[in-house]
Amino acid sequence: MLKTQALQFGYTNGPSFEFPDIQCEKGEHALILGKSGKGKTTLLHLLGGLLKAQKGSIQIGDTDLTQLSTNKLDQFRGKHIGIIFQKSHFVSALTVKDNLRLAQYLANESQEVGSIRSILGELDLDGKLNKKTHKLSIGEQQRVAIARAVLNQPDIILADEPTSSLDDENCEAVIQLLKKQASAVSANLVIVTHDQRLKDVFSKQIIL
Amino acid sequence: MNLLSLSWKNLAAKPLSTALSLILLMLGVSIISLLLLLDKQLQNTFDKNVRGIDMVVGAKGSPLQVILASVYHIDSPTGNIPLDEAEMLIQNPLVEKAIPLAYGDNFEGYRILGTDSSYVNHYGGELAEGELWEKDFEVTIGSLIAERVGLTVGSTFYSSHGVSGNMGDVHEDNTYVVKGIFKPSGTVLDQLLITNVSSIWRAHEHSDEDEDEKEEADENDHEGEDEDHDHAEGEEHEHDEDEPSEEITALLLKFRSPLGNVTLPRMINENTSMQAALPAIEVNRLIGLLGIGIETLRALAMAIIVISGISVFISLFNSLKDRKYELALMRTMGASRGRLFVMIILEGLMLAVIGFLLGYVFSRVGMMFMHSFVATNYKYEFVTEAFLPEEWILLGATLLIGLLAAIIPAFQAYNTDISETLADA
Repeated sequence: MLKTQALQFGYTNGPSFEFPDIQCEKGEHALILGKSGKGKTTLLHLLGGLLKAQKGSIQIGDTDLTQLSTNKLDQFRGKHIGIIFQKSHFVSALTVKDNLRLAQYLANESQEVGSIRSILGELDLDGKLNKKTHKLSIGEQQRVAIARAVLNQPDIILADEPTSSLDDENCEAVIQLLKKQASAVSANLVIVTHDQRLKDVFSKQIIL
Repeated sequence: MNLLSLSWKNLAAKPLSTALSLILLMLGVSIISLLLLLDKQLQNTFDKNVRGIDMVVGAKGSPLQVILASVYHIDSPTGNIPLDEAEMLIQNPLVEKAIPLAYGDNFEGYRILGTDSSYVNHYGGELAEGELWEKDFEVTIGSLIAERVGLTVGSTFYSSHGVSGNMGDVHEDNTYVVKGIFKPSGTVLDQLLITNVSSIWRAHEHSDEDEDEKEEADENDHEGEDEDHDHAEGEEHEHDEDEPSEEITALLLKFRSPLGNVTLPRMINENTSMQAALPAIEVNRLIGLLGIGIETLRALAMAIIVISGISVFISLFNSLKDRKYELALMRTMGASRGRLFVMIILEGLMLAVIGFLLGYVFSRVGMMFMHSFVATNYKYEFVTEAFLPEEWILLGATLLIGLLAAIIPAFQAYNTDISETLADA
C-alpha cells in the first residue's frame, strides 16, 4: 500500500516541486510519467526515503516514511523497499551471490543462499552465481539488479527509467519480468519514466 | 556476509594499493621489532655477563678491548699481565673477590679459559653432567659447545693456538679431556671450555719451546695478534727463572667498597704495567657508540610507519572516490551511516593488523638470520623472545595509525548524500 499526500520538495538554489497525491492499493502498480525536469527522480528518491520531504507524508504499509529517524529509515528501506536504478550498480569487489547476500545482510535478513539461487534461476542467471558483476552483460546486470530489489520481499518496488535504453523487444521483456516479480511478492510496482511505450502497459498513471 | 568479510573483500579487490600499504607497514614494524629484539639482546648479554664485576685488569691497551675480551670473550686480549703484579693486587684490602683468567687457545673457535672454580660460581654455573676439572688438561665445557661441536664427557681434543678460528697451530702435545658439561646459563659460561690456569701455561710452555725456531717466521702469519708478543716475553721470563711462564691474561675484580672504584684504577694505571678497565663505563661507552646507529634506524622506521599510514589513507581515500556510488547503493539497501563508517574503519584496522603480523614474522625471520651470523662469527647465542612487552605498544601504535588513516575517509562515507550521489551517476 502506498499513499502520498501533499508532497513538496525544493532544492537549495534549485527548483521546487509540488507532487500530485498518489494512492496505490496493495499489489497495485503505477506508472509515473513526466518529461525531464519535472522532478521524476526527486519523487522516486522521496518515495524510497533517499530524500526527506519538506512537506507532506508518504505512507508505505502502516509506516509514514517522513516520521522516521535516519537510522530507522535505513532499516525500513532495506526491509520494505526495493529500488532499481536506470543504470545497474553493484559493489564491484563482490560476486553476484555476495551482492545479493549483502542485500540480505544490510536488511538484517537471514542470509540464505537457497533463496538467492532460486531467484537467480527464475531470472535465467543460474551460471552467474560466482561471477563478478562487471563480467556480466548489461542485460544480465539489470536482471541481477531486479533480483536484488525483490530478494527481501519488499512492500514496494521502485524503478527509475528501467527501459529507456532498451529496444522494444527487451523493453517488453523487462516490464513483464518486473510485473511478474512484483506480483510474486505482492508488492506495489512504481515505475518512474518518460518512456511513452509503457503507457499502454499500466492502467494507473500519474502525470507530472 | 558481514562487515569484516566485506572490508576484507574490498581490500582484496584492489591488490596493488593494498600490497603497497602492507609492504610499508611491514617494513616499519619489522625494523622496529628487530631493533627492540637486538636492544633487548644486547642489554641482556651485557648486563648478565658483567654483573658483579667492578673492574677488569688486563695488559695496557684499549680499556674497551680489555672488557670485550675478558668479560664477553669477543675481542682478542690486549696481552698478558705478570702474575706477581696481579697477586699484589689480589692482596689489596679493597678487593673482595678476584678471578684470574688465562687464555690464548681455542677449540673449533670456542675459547679455552684457564681460571679457578670462583669463575664458575660467579656465573652461577651448574653441572649438567660429569664434574669440574681438577688436574691439568681437564676441562668442563659450556652447554653450547657440547651441542654444537658434539663433545661429551670423556671426549678428548687438541687445542689450537689463538683465541678464535683456525688461525693458529694445533698443540698436539697435550690432550684435553672433557670432565663435565655445564647446564645452559645464558651467560658466557655457555660458550667456554674451562680448565685451570696451569693447563694454559703448560700448553704454551711446550709450544713455545717447539716454536722457538720458527717463531720469527710465524710472526708474519700471526700479524695483529697480540699474544704472539706475549708468548715471546713469557718465554724469556721462563728461561730466566726456569719456571713455567707465570702470566695471566686478566683479572676480574669485585670491590669490598665503592672506594675501590675511586682509588684502585688510578693506582693500577699509574704504578703498574697493568691497566684497569671499569665495565660500567666501557659498556656505556660502547652502547653510546652503537646508540647513534640504533637511534637513526629507529627514526627511519618511524618515518616508514608514518608513510605507510599516509599510504593507507591515500589508498582508502582514492578507493572511496570510486566507491562513492557503491556506498550510496548500500544505503539504499538498508545500510546505516554507522555501518559504512565502521566498514571503512575496519579496512584501515585490517591493514594495520595484517601489516603488523607480517612485520612481526619478518622481524623473527631476520633475527634468525642474524642469529646464525652471530653464532658462526662470534660464537654468541641469541635468545629471541616470542613477544616483547614493547611490541604491545608497537601493535597499539600500528592500530592507531590504521585508525587515523581511515577516520577521514570513514567520515566521508558517513556523510555520503545518497540522493545526490545516485542522481549524479
